[in-house]
Amino acid sequence: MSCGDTWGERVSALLDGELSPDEERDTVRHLSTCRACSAFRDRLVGDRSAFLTVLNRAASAAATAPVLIPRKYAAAASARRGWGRRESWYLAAGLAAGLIVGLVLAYSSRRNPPIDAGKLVAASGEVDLVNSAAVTISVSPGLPVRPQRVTSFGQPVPAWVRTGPGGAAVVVTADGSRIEIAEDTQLRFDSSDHLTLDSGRVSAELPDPRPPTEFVISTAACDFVAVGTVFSVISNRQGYWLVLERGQVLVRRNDRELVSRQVQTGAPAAIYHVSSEGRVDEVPYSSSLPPEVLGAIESGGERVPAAERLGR
Amino acid sequence: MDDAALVMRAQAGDCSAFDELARRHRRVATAMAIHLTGDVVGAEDVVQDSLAVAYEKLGGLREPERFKAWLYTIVRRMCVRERRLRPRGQVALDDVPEPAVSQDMSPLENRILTAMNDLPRSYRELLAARYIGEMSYQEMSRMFGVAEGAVRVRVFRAKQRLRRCLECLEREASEASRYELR
Repeated sequence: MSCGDTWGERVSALLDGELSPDEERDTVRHLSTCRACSAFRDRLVGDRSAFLTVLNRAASAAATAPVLIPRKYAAAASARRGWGRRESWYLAAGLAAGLIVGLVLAYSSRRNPPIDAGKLVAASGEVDLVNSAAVTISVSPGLPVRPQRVTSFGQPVPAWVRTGPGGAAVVVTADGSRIEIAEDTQLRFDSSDHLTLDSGRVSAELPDPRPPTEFVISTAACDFVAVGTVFSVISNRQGYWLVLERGQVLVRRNDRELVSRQVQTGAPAAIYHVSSEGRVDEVPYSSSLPPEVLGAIESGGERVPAAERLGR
Repeated sequence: MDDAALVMRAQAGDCSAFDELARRHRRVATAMAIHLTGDVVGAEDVVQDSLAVAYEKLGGLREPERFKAWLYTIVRRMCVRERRLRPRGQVALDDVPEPAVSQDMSPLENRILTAMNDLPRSYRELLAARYIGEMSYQEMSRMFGVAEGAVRVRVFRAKQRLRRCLECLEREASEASRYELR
């Protein structure tokens, strides 16, 4: 800069809104007459804007997952509370608040039953669990699992399970339903028999006979309601997919039934595509199906033999 | 509700208030961590850990209105720790940073990303606090433990350094395109 660092520093501070009124007046007057400083100001404005664009784009992509608080911090925080005079007030207030919250929860649980404790029976790769009060963690020893992070915010629902690239988890709910969560999936347990799929793939194998209640996997487009069934729901760029291997599934949107389909033991698997607007189409099996859908059919091999599922 | 009120509620045991604070500041904290660590994947972990530390230490925050600066100080410390703990020469597969250059970004944005990664740590921290955290010179002076006047000079130098890095990359890019045309 031809005017030197003094003016450069002032131009920088002007853009940051950090000049005194006198300095600001002088700097603005200088900028009106000095081309070099004016060009420098324009470049700083451009740099800042590009800098923020780059970081915002990266941060928006990275900061979409739920906030997870490791259990060790929560334990340390709760251990620290309750000591000292000031803290004892907090403790008393906490107990009173806890009593009120308990009463409210007890009242609300009569209408909205809490999640029954289930079990994370297997996991590999990167798996995050949020509020797993609802899910007992008992991973088989030796499995390569990154430390689970568990929130301690104390809310009873929802419980999230998120798997990263290469990750997978199997959760068995209290009623014996087996939920397989594929890699790159984000799933919310609203209750033991109601899941919400945000992204990725989830497969369910429900006990037979099922209890008289519905088992529902909700997506942004529709609900998949199962009655005694083995099935997978996939969310990808093309919309939502249902791979029904055995039993009966209803596809429902706004309480309106779009499809009801039953697949008997030994019959080929049924594949449906649901657009984000809720249009449902049955799709024949072909090797050109999206890999996530083919993956659901292939991974179902352990549950239903491939020849049976594909009618071969 | 402002940050100070949420902090006071969280200090009194209202977990949803902390949740709201985390939601408000998470994206900016992540941007800061990406800038300081140069690692998109690692930054998310740093922010999660920083929020956990903030949750644990919130009771000790005497000035609730300073929550933002306080949280960014935690993020900054966690980033320093993350960089120190990162093994040299050999990194785990999970820790491989994102490529510095992305196909989704314009040439200018890619040059910015490279220039940011080339800045010394002290300048990165200043730009993160000013541009991402939108902290005032007064807040930065508390955070870095230097006088406000010194913050003003250093912020200018950091911007100047970023500009020089960019000019350098722009020159290299134009020379490369001239070479390709021949």
